[in-house]
Amino acid sequence: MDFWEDDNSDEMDIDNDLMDDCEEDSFSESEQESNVKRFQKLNIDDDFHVEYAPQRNTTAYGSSRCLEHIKSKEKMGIGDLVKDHALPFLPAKSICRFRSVSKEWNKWITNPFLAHKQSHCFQDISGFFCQIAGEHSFISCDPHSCGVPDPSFSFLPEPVILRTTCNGLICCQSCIEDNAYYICNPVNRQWKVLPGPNYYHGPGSAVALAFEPSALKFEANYQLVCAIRLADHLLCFEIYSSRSKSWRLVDALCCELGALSGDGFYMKGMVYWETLSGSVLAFDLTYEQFGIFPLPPECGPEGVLTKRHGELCYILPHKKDNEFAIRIYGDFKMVLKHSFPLELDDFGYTSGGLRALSCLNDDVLAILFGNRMITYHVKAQKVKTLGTVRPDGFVTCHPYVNSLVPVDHPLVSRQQANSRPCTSSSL
Amino acid sequence: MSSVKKVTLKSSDGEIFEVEETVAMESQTIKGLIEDDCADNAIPLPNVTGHILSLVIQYCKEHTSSSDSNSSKSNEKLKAWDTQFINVDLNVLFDLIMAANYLNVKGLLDLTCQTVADMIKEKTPEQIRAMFNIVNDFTPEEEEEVRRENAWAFEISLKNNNVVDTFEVEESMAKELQTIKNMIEDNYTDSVIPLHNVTSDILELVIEDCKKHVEAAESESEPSYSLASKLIDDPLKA
Repeated sequence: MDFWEDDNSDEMDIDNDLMDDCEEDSFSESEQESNVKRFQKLNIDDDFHVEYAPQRNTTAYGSSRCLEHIKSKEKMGIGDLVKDHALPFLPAKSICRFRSVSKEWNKWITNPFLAHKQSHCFQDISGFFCQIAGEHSFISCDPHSCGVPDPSFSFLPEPVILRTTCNGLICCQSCIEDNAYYICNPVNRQWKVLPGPNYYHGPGSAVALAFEPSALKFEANYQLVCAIRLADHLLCFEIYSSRSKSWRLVDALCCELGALSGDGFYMKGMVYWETLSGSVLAFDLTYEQFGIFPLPPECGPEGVLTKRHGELCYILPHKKDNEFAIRIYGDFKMVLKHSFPLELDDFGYTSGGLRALSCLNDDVLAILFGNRMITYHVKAQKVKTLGTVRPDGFVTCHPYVNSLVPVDHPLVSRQQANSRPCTSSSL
Repeated sequence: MSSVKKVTLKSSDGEIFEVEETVAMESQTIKGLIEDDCADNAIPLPNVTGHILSLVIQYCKEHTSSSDSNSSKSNEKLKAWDTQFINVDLNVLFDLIMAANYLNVKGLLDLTCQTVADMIKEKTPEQIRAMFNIVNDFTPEEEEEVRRENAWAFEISLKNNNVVDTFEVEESMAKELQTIKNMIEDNYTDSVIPLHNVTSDILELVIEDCKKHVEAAESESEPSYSLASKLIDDPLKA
């Protein structure tokens, strides 16, 4: 009986293969076909056995002429398959913990290719960054699997306030000097300071971070969109692009709206800001045009724009007498789609009221009940407590995805060094 | 009306499956064989058993018909079908992963791997090694260094989460837990028993488990005790 031992030397080549794949669109059919193993038609005998050549990319790509040689030892490949195909579906904390499983796992996990794959495969909201009076904290949806090493952002060179988040990237702003913008990922502690904008982003301005992890593009391409208040009813838009590494003013000018109520929310190529007058300013990043649509008349600071079933919706808690309910509005007309009663008797009295935070996945909503952060499963009507926030003021809570997305990739060329360190890797 | 083109698949244990070509082409491997004209006779699949192959075919059938424009199957319904489909034994799940990989059925590979990911995300490295028969090839010093570099990933620091939950349980159930049994037998006078090292969600699972054990035996009404889980900063041991 011949068997090939599972030869680890094959695995050594993974880095070279994968690093080559990293430049440009490496997932095209032609590249994959060049990696295809030869198949042979087998004669099926009762006592046939086959030999296994461990695959380097463990998925058979493209068209293949012959059947592969396979080791008949049961479940030999399951560890490798899980490493290659299941790890990218995990949140960052779990993945980092599994570095100590074995040397092979450690090597794969520290490979930037895995970070890129995970940022695309894992997009679940994993917790909330909360801040009040300059104090930061992180409340995890599942402390075993989601978390960050340093929720206080002390890895940044200046004290910051958290402005907005998007798919694993966080936009912060410095509290001192010229209020520079930072883009960072607290998991890997990588950060980048943006060059100063061309226009003054005064107190009436609002930002939104647009970042869509791409299966094809290796670099994290994001845009920071700022709605700047020029005058009482005049808004213009200045956008920072990580691709061009520069700011640019957009042609569109909005003169129909009053004050914006806060930083924006990105979804599917569009950025949305709520206004104090109960409408939504939507900005299309592809066509660089804006539109306005109204929120339901009962809207308020306790409601939130979020994504549910792949669509934009507005979630609003509603209280009548002592009964709580959650109302979900959707479509561009923001009509009432669902209303769920909220059973919160077990939680007793609260003085803070309800605030909707986000939709975690299609059936689970995150809500702030007084100073208690809870999740509510709409179908099972099950409430789970995630944690508590400081009760002595208004705490901002930003949803965060526990992604490994690199901010400052080693393959990306560095900016010119100036007096202030501009990226984490220049330290 | 032309007859529907079929292909014949043969599993490792000799079972024969006749499948419509469109369904079989959900497998990129089989698609390649068909396109290269290697599929006139039965296609042998020597490392997929009949049982697993029948499941894979089921999956392909369901997902082929949903991409048909005549099908009214919505995304939600398909998702629900997938959830039901993937509710299988762990061994079957592993076999499905390997079959999906070998046959190159991307949707099934993603579905099975997502399921496994959900199962393992809270596990320790030791549990991972046991589950997938992985040898720990780190020296103790090397392993210690990796753990130190990523210490935060091994901690369940609940400082910020800061939650205290109480659970009311019947005495017969609480006695399933030896520690608590001893406390009760020692006439523990405090009405709330604090459990410093147990988080709410773990305690909930333990209580569920005890419930099942007790329901299997007979129970009469017992005085009830309150168990409180108190959370502290110490990292939880595996």
